[in-house]
Amino acid sequence: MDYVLETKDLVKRYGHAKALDGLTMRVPKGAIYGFVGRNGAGKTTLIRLVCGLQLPTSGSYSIYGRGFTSRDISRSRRRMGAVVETPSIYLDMSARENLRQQYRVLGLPSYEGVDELLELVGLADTGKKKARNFSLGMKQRLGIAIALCGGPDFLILDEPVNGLDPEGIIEVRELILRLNRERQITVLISSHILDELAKLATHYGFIDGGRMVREMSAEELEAACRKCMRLEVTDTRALARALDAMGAEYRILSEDTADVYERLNVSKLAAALQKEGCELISVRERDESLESFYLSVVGGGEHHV
Amino acid sequence: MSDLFLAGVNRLWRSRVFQICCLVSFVANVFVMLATYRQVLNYTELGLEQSITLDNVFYGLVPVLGVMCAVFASLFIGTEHSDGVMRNMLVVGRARWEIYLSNYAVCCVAAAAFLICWFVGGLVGVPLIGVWQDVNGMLLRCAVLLLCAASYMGIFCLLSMLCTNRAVAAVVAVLLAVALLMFSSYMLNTLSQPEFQQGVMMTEAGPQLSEPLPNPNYVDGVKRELFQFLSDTLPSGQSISVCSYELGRPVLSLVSSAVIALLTTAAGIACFRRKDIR
Repeated sequence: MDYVLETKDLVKRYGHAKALDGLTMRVPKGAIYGFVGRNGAGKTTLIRLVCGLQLPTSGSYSIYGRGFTSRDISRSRRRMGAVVETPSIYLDMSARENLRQQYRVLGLPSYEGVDELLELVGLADTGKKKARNFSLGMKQRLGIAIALCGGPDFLILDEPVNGLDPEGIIEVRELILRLNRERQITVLISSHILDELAKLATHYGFIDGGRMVREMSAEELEAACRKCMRLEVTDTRALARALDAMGAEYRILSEDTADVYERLNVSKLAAALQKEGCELISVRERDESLESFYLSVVGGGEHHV
Repeated sequence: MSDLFLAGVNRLWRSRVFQICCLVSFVANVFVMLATYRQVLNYTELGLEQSITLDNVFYGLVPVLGVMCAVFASLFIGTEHSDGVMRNMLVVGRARWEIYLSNYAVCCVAAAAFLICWFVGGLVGVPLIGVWQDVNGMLLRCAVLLLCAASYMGIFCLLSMLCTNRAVAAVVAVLLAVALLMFSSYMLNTLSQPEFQQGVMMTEAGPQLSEPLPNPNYVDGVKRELFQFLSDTLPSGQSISVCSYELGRPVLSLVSSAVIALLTTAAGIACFRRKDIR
């Protein structure tokens, strides 16, 4: 698999405080990577390092295979766009002027594409209105438009829906999905709003205390959070035969435990198991939400997502 | 780097601070010329002799240049920090030295524009007071002021690039500019003290000059050398010297301005390369 971003044992210290503590992660090409963690977990710190705003204390990272210390890392960065924390926009300029300014920074020969970008983020009709008079959602979308100048294929968004109203959240979500599907842009989104991430992400990275606790695909997460019946039996091989005969979807977890992903008639199952010479010890219904899964991964604690 | 410089220049023309500073430079020198012309008329009306020429009034307000550079650099560069737009440059792979140098270059363009506005404002005095008696001196002083502004911008650019809080940067820069002016003013004032003081005594034969006494405020030796050197090399000292038409060692002033600009820029780039941007 190709990876857009790979980090290895990244450490960032601010004085005595360790914001990142040996973080290792990999963002696959074409993914929408949800970077999940509580406030202060180190999400923004990692983004600042990857964007070249700060240098790591130790460890390394590479973007499109180029190490951050390599001479031509700027060539990889040219393929990136980012909105870190608050949107980076000139408040005394209009949306169009802001985009033109970023085109100049990039050294692009013409302003071709500015109108298309304004259209894409829904700011085409803002005219000469200064960015300082924009709503938070408009500023966020303008920030994303600036990040899209130069046609990047890796977009980093730090808490993009923070503080937005429901309409703004939907607009930003749809924009991100469109960019990923229509332009094949790899997106790294940091957030602690899990429900929102669940509507977007194809991959997840759970960070806590500056460390990557777990990386998984959306399919794996879905399986982990899927509604199921957890059965405890004396012999899971016998259980497998019985469930196969019933055509049920299941997953064997251990010698005596299995998850079944549909509602079964327990009496019929018990009877089928008896025929196989197996006893049904317990049946529990499991419905793990993304939040409870997250808490189980990062270990709960005082802070909650 | 040229892309960043052009982007900066484009922002410069739109900058309200820049426009105000240019306007102030122009209007201030026009005001000085009109006030001087009024003084010439008064002298003429009273039939008094006057030795006012364009040379000795043209540079009357140049010491303010330092404060103007401080205000402009801290607010212009501070916006890049406060609006977070410096991040847009770093994210897309622009090198830190490019960002620093382009900002410094834009600040120098702004300082040159302030001087041009000030000069154009002063031209109002030509039909009223007359032309320069010493054209070469005028050109030399303009060159000294240009490099003096570049060294001022070197100092304030360093401060503004490294201090991410725009308000703090602005206050510190202005205080520094004023402190430099006061320090240079004190040194030049001390240097102008006579070595001996002579009083007047009233005697029976009428007023007589007393025996010359050593002036306690007079400085000599290493301290005098140091004061003279600092006055000639610090941009604040140079601007006061130009203002009072007493530029002592112009070549030293030109060289020192260039050295200050180079050193502050090199130090600024070295520090900015390691600076954590939020």
